[in-house]
Amino acid sequence: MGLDIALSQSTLIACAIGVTLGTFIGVLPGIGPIAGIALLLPITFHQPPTDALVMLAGLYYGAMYGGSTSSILLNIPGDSSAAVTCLDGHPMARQGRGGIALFMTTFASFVGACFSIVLMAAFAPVLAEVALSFGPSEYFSMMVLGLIAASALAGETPLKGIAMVVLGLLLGLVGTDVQTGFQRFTLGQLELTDGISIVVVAMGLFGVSEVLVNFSSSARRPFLTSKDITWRSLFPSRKDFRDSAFPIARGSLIGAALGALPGAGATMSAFMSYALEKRIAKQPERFGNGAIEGIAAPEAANNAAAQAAFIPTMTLGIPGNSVMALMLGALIMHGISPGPMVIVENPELFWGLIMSFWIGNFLLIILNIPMIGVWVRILTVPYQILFPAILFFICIGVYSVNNDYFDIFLVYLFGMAGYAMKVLDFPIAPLLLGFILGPLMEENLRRAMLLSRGDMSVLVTHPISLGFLSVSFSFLAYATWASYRRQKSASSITTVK
Amino acid sequence: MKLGGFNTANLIGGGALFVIGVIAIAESSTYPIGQLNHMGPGYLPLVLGLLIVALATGIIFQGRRTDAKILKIKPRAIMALSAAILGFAFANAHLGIVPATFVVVVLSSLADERFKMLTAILTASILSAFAYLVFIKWLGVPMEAFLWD
Repeated sequence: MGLDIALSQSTLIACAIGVTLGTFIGVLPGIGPIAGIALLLPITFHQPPTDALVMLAGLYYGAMYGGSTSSILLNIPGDSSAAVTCLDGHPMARQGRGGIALFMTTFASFVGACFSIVLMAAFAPVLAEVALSFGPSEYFSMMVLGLIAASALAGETPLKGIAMVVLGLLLGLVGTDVQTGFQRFTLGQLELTDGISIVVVAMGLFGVSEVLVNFSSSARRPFLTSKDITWRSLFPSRKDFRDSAFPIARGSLIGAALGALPGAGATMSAFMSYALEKRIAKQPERFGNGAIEGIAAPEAANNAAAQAAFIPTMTLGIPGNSVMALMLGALIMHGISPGPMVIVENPELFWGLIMSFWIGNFLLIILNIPMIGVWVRILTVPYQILFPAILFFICIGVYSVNNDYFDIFLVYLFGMAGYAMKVLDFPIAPLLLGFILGPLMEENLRRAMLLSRGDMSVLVTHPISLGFLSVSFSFLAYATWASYRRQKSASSITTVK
Repeated sequence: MKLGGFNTANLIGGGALFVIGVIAIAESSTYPIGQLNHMGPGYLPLVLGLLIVALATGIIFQGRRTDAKILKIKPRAIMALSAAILGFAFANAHLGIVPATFVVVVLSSLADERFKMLTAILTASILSAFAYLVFIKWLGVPMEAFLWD
């Protein structure tokens, strides 16, 4: 039934437009899916509800595909969930393996998405119930795990990574405390009462800083010229596929699991997936230097999460992230009240949407692989044009979210801060994750403490929560031990000299 | 680079973090703290501030054992970028998006010595046309192409 609907002409066109725009938006740094969806929302007024949702959805998961392109080629993420892909994707491009990286991320994204779609179609109601059984303690501990995982990505020094995470947490708390109505760190600025926009942080910290790094460096080389993109250079070797198989599988699982949980999202899934791969790799030093697992897993994870985010949204009416909140807004605009009754009362919407996911992802494979040349060509424009243009997109993209000049000023501040961090060798990715999770962690910790009346042991008496915390602790212990060992051998080398 | 036995990058970075932590502690202690079973708005920020101060100290001292890896800085690039972004905001507010586009593109192009005015102007023209067509005409974002007071 859903297939008929998804294949109807208007819906098909909506889907095609959505995914193409999504990829384009994803490829362009500076404008992310949230901005894109917010901008398209008024246009979807005039469409039937199914078409509207299909188009918006296409834009969302399409952006997950495109975001990795500029991560790989320019070290600037197209979207915050693609930030992790910079870590190994860009080194791969520098090694001349950019085409392979692009192909692999598309492939991984597709597998991840399909996994989640199957999950959604088969198990939607069941999964929603499992997601509901997560209490505040479980959420809190899961986020702790996410943060420790992020700081373990710091490579050399876990200390710097954790410090960045904590700084991110603090920044996330800027604004009005939702539960008490109290304004924190707002310095009397009206614009800060809603906190700092994540678009501002992501684009400033990653985008502007990278532009500045590029302006300041003397090395100038496009990493892929258009003649490099022949079919053969795109295709990964057998070994690449074999190396990526399990990471993709694990990434998909993580993404589907976390994506279905309200609050966790694509970015967090990508981070955790990366951390997991690095942790279980036989040679973790390869990460950060072009390990293909480092892009395959997170890309599978972020797409799986993006698709899975529809599960609580469509089955329970609980938005998993701000994009889903916009989707719900679209539903309400069309007079459909979101909630468990959506499947029952509007089956054609639900199943039509799911079928459109299949079609959309299939379209995306077509868009992203053969058309890689087109997207890459956009990014291999000479740097004198490219970077000012990127700066333009960042500025206008950030401005268009809130129509607020203060945001541009903040993007500037974060850009300079990010630049300072890159210059001083502090990792920036953990800060972003801390920023996203800060308010959520506080909310859950508060609730957990409220329910347990101040008893902190509740975090370890709940089995799932204990599980998360134990894994976090072992991550931390391992990272500290590993860095201590590295420093010891480094200093012993110098003393030998 | 070392300064009195301390890795400079860690010193500067850790120092900055230390200051931030102190500010966080100072500010959040003016908020109601509450107790663990009823956490006030100041509780978590205070804890985090303390944590940052501790970590910053650790970073500074850990720097004793390692060398700093500091990237080269080009003041010209920093100034060009600053002017470009802040100029964009100013220009868009008072002059409209088309002038703002020119401001951001031309000023940021100045970051590079091999700056060519013609390229910059051409790029700015194309981008501002793009901005007009896509953002204003098609998507209806509340922006003005040109603002005359």
